[in-house]
Amino acid sequence: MADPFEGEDVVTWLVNVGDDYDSAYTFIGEAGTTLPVLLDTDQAVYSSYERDPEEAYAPFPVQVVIDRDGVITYLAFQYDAEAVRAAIEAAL
Amino acid sequence: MLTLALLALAGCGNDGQKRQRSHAPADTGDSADTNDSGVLPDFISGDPIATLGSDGDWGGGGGELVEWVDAVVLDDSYGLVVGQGGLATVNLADGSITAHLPVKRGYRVAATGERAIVGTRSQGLMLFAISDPAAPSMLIDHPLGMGYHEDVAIDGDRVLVGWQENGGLLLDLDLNELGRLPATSAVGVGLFGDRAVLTDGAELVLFDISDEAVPVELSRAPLPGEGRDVSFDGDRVAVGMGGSGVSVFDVLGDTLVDRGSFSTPGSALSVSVDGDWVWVGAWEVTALAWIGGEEPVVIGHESPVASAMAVGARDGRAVVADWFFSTALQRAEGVAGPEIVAQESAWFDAGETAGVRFENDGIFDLDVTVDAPGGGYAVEATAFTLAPGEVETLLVTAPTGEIPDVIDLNWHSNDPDESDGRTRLRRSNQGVGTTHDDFSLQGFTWPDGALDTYALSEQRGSVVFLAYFALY
Repeated sequence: MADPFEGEDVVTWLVNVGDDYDSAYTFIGEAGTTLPVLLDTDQAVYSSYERDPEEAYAPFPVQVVIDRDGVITYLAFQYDAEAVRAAIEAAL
Repeated sequence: MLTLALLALAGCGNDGQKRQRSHAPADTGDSADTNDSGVLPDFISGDPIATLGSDGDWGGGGGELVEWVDAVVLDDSYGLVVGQGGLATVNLADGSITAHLPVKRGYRVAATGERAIVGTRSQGLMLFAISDPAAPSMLIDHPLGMGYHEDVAIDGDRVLVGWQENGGLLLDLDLNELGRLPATSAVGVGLFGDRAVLTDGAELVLFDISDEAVPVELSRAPLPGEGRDVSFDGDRVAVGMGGSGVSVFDVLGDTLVDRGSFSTPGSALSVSVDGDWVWVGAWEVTALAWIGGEEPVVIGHESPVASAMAVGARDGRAVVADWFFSTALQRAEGVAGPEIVAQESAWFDAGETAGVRFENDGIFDLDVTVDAPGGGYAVEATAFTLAPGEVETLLVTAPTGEIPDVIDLNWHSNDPDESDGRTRLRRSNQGVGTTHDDFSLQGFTWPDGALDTYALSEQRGSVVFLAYFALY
């Protein structure tokens, strides 16, 4: 699996929430990605995002784009590849 | 993006937000939480679990990377742990390592009086002689073939391996195949005499293996989640199911009888039945539950030194595969207490209110007092008592105007292990337009696997994409 933004100034981090190292490692090996996998074991970072109380979100995925100044420009609780791509391109 | 394909495999999300101390067996559909005061043995108030000692270090200082991930008790004096460091003997009196074989990375271990079997997940099985626990020696190194193998069990002269879609592999002590227990996703396994159990996805199955070539299925029971680890002593089966907690069954005749489930902080990675008790290695805690009655009752937790990846127990002593450490624990007979479960962090929402959750996972009343942070913070109550199983979400209101990014809410309790603690109250509940809080997490890349530290602040100047996922 290639990083689609390879060569550009985009850092992509996968963040596993709550699973043990072995399971995460095996899963990532099966997925065939060499992207970094961070372990948010106590869910501290995962739980910190503002959620609209009116919406019922599935727990995953959570997708966040942060611009060069460290400001969140995109936050979604659904899988929308086009929206993520657009957000990253806008931030570059 | 291709990378997002794997993230679309959204696991069903950790149950962690709505833990229950125990709930009724899966097939009755009754979810009333029971007050078991009439069923439990008499306890006096105190700390039910003592840490006797621990051995290891945090690494990075030239220390060998051990990463113990499974554990088993051998006898009154010794246990075994396995992991990246191979296999090691642990002194149960103090957790110290007394012998260390730097063999292949071990993933699961099981033992009888004479033999220990180690599964490596993808590099085959290893059989050890352990009649002298201080001097274990490897007898057989057996490549297993394609596919991941999971849990291992050993009893008498048989070994059982959870071999996923290849079923339960039954072997003799020379590791020759005797038979196969059919399953499509065999993970957790147990052996006792002529009986075998395994988890087949989200089901527990009991077999008669008196004719090893022709295993006979006796009973099958649904589980609340995918089975990950099994402990079987002939009479009872405990199943660890990660974020879905632990289920307990009696074996009555040829039938599995569901006695109910419970959950703990963390994720139930490993279980060990010890008479009327079950110990749980749940990463964040090692937990202890009483299973001598109609339903399991959580008695208490003990914090690991690092991470409680697995636990093995017998006769009130336990050994914990505590990641960089091996840790010995002792259950105090007839003693239990309140058990506080508190959050590390809580966030203020847009209305500048934070909900701080406290729970009592013990069997005595938990008294909590809270210190209101200075500077105009309003705390709903500064003292409260939680009955066993009770949850309190304490509301904290921030003052108007500028408030710090992080402020501590200090609490105090009569939990014998955790008399003082704190919950960090954080200002930014993050959304679009806010600066993302800095964080620093451990992470790895495949195939290397070594843990490194990843800090968001170091990426300033680049665009960062974070994609969260979970497996359960």
